[in-house]
Amino acid sequence: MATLTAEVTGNFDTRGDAKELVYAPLDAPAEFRRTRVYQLEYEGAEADAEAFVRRVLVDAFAEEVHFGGSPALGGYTFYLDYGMKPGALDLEREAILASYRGARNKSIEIASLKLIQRIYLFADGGLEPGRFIRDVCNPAIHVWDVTPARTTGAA
Amino acid sequence: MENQPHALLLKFPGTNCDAETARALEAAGFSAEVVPITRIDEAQLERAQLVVLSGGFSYGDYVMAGRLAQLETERKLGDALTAFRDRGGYLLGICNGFQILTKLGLLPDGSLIHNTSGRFICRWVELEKRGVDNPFLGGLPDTFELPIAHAEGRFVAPGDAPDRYLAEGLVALTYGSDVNGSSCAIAGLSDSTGRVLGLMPHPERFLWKSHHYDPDWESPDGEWGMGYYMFKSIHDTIAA
Amino acid sequence: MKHREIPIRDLDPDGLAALSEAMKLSLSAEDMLEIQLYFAEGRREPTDVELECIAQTWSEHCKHRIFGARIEHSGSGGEEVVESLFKTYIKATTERIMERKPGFVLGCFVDNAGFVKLDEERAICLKLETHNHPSAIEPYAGANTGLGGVIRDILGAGKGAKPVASCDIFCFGSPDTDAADIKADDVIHPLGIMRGVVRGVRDYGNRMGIPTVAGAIQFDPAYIYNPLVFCGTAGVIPTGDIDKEMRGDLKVIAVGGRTGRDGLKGATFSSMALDTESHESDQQAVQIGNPIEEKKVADFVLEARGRGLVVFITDCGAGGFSSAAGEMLSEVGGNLYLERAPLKEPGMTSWEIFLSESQERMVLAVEEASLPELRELAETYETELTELGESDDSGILKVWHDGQLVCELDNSRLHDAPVRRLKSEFNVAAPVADAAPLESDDPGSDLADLLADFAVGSREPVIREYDHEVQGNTVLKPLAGATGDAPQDAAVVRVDGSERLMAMGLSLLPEWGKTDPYAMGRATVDECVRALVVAGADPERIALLDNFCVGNPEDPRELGMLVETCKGIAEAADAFSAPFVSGKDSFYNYFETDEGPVSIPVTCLISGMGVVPDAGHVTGSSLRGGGNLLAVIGSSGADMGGSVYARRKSLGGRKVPETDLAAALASYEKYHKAVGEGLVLSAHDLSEGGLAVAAAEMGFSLRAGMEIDLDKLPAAGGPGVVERLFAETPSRILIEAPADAADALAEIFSGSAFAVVGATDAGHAKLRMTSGGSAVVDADLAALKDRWKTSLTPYY
Repeated sequence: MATLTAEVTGNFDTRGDAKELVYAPLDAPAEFRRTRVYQLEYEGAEADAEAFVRRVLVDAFAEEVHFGGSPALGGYTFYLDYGMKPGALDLEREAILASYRGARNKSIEIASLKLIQRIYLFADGGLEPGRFIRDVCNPAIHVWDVTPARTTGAA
Repeated sequence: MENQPHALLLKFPGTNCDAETARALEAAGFSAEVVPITRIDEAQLERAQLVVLSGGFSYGDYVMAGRLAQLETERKLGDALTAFRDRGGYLLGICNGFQILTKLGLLPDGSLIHNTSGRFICRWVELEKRGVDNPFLGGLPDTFELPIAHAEGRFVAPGDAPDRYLAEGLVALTYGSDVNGSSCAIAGLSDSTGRVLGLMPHPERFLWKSHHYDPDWESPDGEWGMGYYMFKSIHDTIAA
Repeated sequence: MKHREIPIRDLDPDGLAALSEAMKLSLSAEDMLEIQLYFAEGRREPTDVELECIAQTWSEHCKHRIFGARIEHSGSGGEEVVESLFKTYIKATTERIMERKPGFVLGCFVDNAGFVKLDEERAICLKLETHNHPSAIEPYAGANTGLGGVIRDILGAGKGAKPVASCDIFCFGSPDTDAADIKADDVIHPLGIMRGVVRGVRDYGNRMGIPTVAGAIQFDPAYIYNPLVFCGTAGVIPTGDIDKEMRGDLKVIAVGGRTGRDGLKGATFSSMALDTESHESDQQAVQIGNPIEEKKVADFVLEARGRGLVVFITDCGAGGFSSAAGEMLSEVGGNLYLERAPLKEPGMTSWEIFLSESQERMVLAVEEASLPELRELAETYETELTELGESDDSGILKVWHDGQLVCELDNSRLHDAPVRRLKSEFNVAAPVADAAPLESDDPGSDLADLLADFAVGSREPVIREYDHEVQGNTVLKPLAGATGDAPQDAAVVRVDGSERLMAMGLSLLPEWGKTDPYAMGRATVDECVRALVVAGADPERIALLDNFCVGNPEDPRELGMLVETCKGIAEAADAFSAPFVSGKDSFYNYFETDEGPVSIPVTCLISGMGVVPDAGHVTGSSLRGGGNLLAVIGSSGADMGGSVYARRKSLGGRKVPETDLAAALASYEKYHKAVGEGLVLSAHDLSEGGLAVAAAEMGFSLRAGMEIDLDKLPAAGGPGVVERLFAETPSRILIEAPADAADALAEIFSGSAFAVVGATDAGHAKLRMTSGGSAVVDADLAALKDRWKTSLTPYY
């Protein structure tokens, strides 16, 4: 069993004003960008898994895929990963797996697929993740994780 | 009717504009048949002169608009739609249909991504006709209005491709103003044969004059809306 | 074993109550005694399936026990006993109207939705539901499944009505609420609720391809802890497919989504008050809707009905299979086999399968001979079809699981839930003694502020997120007029194949109910009827729905306000001969904050559908051009209670306006005649913000300037300038008419309050309102429109 982590970034995406993410004004300006992260557990060749991701989960003209697991963007203050908690219906995941099941000549066997929404936050003067977690995520359906920038500077 | 052109509307789970699109096609003189993707075969394509992919949210548009419908169409039909076009058939993709045709590679390279506002937008827009010889647009004036309703309608393509499409006459329609961030304000696009058209606006929602938001809008003939002329144009092209 | 026996026959009342608590049955000791009696007579102990089944059947959500309760009410009319609010005020009213107006109502109160006649071949139906508690906990998913549920109500109405339009009405805390003012943990900020709810409605409605054409948003701090989310859907059905009847020789099939543990106890959950703990512990009640699953089911159901393959159909709503099967099989009898139900997860017990409220499921009864064709249809539309069981003529529903009989309830012997007994009281607070007319230094600036107030400001940012034109039949859109962004009073949709159209409108005035719920009830019905009539509906052909949301019904004062509201709406519906054909109620909308319980104001949403004779009756509410006359229908009063102006100026204790129902009906009938004769170019009802706001909104098409002489208004009760501008006296309409129509209009409206009050002028772009010959408002319409349009944009 192998694992493939793919982060998908939009070539035409630009940073948005982080106030869109929260429900009350921010103390200092901050910006954000969203990406999607897929974690695929599979049986088969890595090249075939990457081909599956490129063919099904990535747009050839508007998106880039980054394999390997290290964050695709740099310069962030932190990033917030969130996804549906186990047992909660993830419609996108279900749709991908349903489409995969209908495929002929499967080159890989998918054992599991996890979808993560990633939000990078950028702020000059530092930024507390608490408010973003509270306003973006809901414990009723989500699980989340915050990764701060390494103090030595972002990758 | 003898020589009545036949339109086939391909329906996916989540396609939801097929009924009103069939209604508009019939108003323009077509015989129209909605065929779910599970029941499609190449023989049905043989009988049709026009294949329409109507609006909606095929497979929920999960992952990205049109992707799962593209995969399913490729599985069911292989390259039969390309062959259909190559032997002289016409293809029309409206909204989600435009997104699917793009993903299928039946239109010039590019993608329809999330509107710059990040929102779904339901409103009427001003359009400019760019495709001078386009068989779908012959009966339309240089500028006219149609409604849009989409979240992923921003056309993008690598490098200077959008400008090139404009220069090459592949751009059929542009927005009169920036509504969703589309490169070169592209609202509708043709392939190099001119027989394939994809557009984000919904001509089937402006079939009658009474569809217009302004009760004082004046129809050229007092009855029909601008969408009608689009269906009539392609009907007359095929029937000619 | 997937089920178990629960010994109850030997329990004392305390033991029964403890059992109800432990199993989260939400049944009172009295209820449990009734159940004990049933099983004692049957000489056996119940199974857990049976107890869960009874608990959900008797839950407030399903049984509306408060609307059926015996209430000792002490009000302005003295002491009285109300034997069931529903029977007394809703059902009896409708029955009287049906006698007076035979052939209009084609079905009410029994099926999933109420039906009225559209034309000789078709009926229209409407249903509204609330989804408050789920939306408080997860706004996106709560609203999403709220709309999904009411759409299934329509799919299960008759033999399957076609959903053609939806509406959504929300009550939220203000989007600029200071987080410090939220006195509880884990309460989602009103702006988060609003964003989530709107997107939830958007993603379900848009994907289903049902236009969301009408709605309203109320903002009030009282809704911070208990946001209200009403979702409604209208349908169309051939008249011959309304009646459905079960028989003893049918197969019972389920179509659509699979059954899982999601949504267990949804019905009992919604019958409890919220507290901080609910946000953590009741996560099982959070369900996520799958609109594409439902779209596939809808395609299947409508095609099956069209081919005549449906004998009976109902949705799987609260209570899941237990309520759907209960509806189908409790009288005729039959067998269900739970092991046949396709499951989302392994290891589900009998009661979990039977009670699961998983979304996107419908249950049908069909002839065995139809099964092959139905299976093929299910394959065509890629939805799962399962044969769950069959009906017989035994009169008893038996539920089996792997060969074991897990539930056998004899409905003829199991009595209904015991009638609840409640007390209520209400006394109208004496209003401020005859207040003198108000003064304002700058009415023009007051008007601009009102237009920017959250109560009045444009809902455009929300409306644009909804596809309101899919299906291609939306004739009067929520935003229209020459610039396509001016507000309208109600929506009108074309019905395929008919010359007639359906108008859909609504009203709610919770601010009025805080002081005078009876007046609120009358005015709410009046406003809904008026919105429909102004949109083009025939006042003779209007049907209403009543949806209530209330705090704690065990508090006599809150219940008293509900009783008074019911009296008000019943009188008004009777006066207009507009029957109630469906309704729903939601209680326990209160929240235990750090500073004590907070209840919502009694919230009564009246929605309605009206038959529009033809497209020529649809004028819209936006100015058409210069050189026309402006006239006001209805008399203007001085009472400012409940108005947006009074709230903004903190004018407490003002009297809420009364509604003259007979005068209102007469003027609506005359209005309808005038429209039919082509004498009306546009019309707008006067509601929040009064005449000044209505005039400005009408002018937002920016086709012409407007001049209105306030002294010419038909008036009673001595309104001053401020009252003439901003009072919210009911039953008034502002119309634009051709200049040469003055005499014809005067003749039609003779005997009613009616006056030409001004004119439109293409020569300028201002709203000029004068009194005593001098201008009191002289404002640029484009500037006013900008204030109105940008009211919500910083937040949504």
